Amino acid sequence: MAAETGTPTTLTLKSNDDELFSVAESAAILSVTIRNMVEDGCAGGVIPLDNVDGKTLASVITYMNGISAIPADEEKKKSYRDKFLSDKDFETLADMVLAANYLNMSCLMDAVSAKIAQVMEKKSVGWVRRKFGIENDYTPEEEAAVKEEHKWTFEGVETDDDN
Amino acid sequence: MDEIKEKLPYDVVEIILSRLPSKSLLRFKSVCKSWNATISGERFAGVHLRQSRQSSGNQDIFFWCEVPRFTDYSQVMVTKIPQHIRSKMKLEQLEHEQKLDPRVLCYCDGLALLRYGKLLYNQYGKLLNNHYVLCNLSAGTHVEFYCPYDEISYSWHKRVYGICYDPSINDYKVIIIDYERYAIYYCRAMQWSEIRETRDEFLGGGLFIGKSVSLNGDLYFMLKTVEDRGYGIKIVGRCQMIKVGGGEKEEELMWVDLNGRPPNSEQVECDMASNIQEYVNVLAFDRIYCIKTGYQQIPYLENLFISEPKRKGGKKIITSC
Repeated sequence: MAAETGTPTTLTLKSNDDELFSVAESAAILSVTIRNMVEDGCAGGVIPLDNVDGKTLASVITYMNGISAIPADEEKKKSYRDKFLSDKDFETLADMVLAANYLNMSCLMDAVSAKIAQVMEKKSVGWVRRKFGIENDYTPEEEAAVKEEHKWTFEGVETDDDN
Repeated sequence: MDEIKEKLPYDVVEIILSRLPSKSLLRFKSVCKSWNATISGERFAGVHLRQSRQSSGNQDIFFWCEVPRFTDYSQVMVTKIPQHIRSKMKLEQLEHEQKLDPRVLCYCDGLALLRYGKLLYNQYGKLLNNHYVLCNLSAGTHVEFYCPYDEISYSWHKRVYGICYDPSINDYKVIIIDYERYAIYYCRAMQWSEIRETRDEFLGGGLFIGKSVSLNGDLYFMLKTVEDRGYGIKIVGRCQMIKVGGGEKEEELMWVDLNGRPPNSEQVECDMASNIQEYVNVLAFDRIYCIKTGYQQIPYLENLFISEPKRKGGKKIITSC
């Protein structure tokens, strides 16, 4: 580690669409995946992240920099996370949860999955199928039976606006 | 972006689902068969329970209240079941017929025990006060059951109740205790334990008062003890309750003195009155504790408990009448 020299170590990350990003090592090791690479000494050149596209990686790096700039104050970190995720749509959140999972970033994973759950909470079954790319494999009779069993849970569901 | 997204992997979907409230989960059983299987699975219920406990929040607030002079009237207040949940569970109808006492006797992880308020008599004209309603707030269901032990049933004014989770048998237990005896109802097995004697060396002749509060599997009671100047109050906890042996069940209640203050709690001033149920005259209470349970949402317990109240299956509810 180069903390003594005064110049912070910078890592270069490469997305799966070949964009390159520079990020301070101290911020990047929020990702356990990257930290392991650094500790194993294989983070010298470019670190390829095959499961993350450029747009998502840029966003993740913004988060890494933002959150690591906040001192150990859980309240402030939480409000940063809330603000960071507040304007993200479902597709972006889905990309981020995949990236957080792949990069093994537990704090981002927690925040994004909670945010997705918050977005989904009042949505219809049809909305969830579309957004998660799930095919309905029930027969109409089966589906009616499952719905009937938990009828009350269909009260107060938002009308789909696909946002 | 491409119009068809790659599917989120199973483990990620499960993490997201574990953040959802029960109502959404039950609705999303209709999404597809694999989601239904996941949500209905026992493993997922455990994941959701852990998730609910981890999240910090204070949705469930319990008040320990003590009436200074009316020693027989001291009690622990436990949250009432909110109106919208009561209507969903169709408990309103029972209340309307004045069958159900709406006060929660005890509560744990989204399970609430209530008592039938209607007075029932057996053929000899004796009062039966052993009829209970156990509510699963997350699934919106309830079951009714009877306590078969007359010894406990007749001393109804001395009884206290608790619900706690026993991971060793993956079941919730309702405990009914009077001065000398206790019995345990296994929610999932729908069976009663034998009636047992309370060991009294710790209790020292003290009396339980009011209701218990359940937190993370432990139960907390208030105990009234005789002191120099009349009565004093101790708050006691139950630790490592009920060990279940291999074949022969060995059950034991162990008590610890918490020096008058439940853990994870703060004593609150009387300006919290607005949060307390309207029928409690807060000025009459000497001490009020607010306990943060740490639950952000009611844990999803559908499959740790009876999900269909009407389903009889092969299991029999033991009745005493």
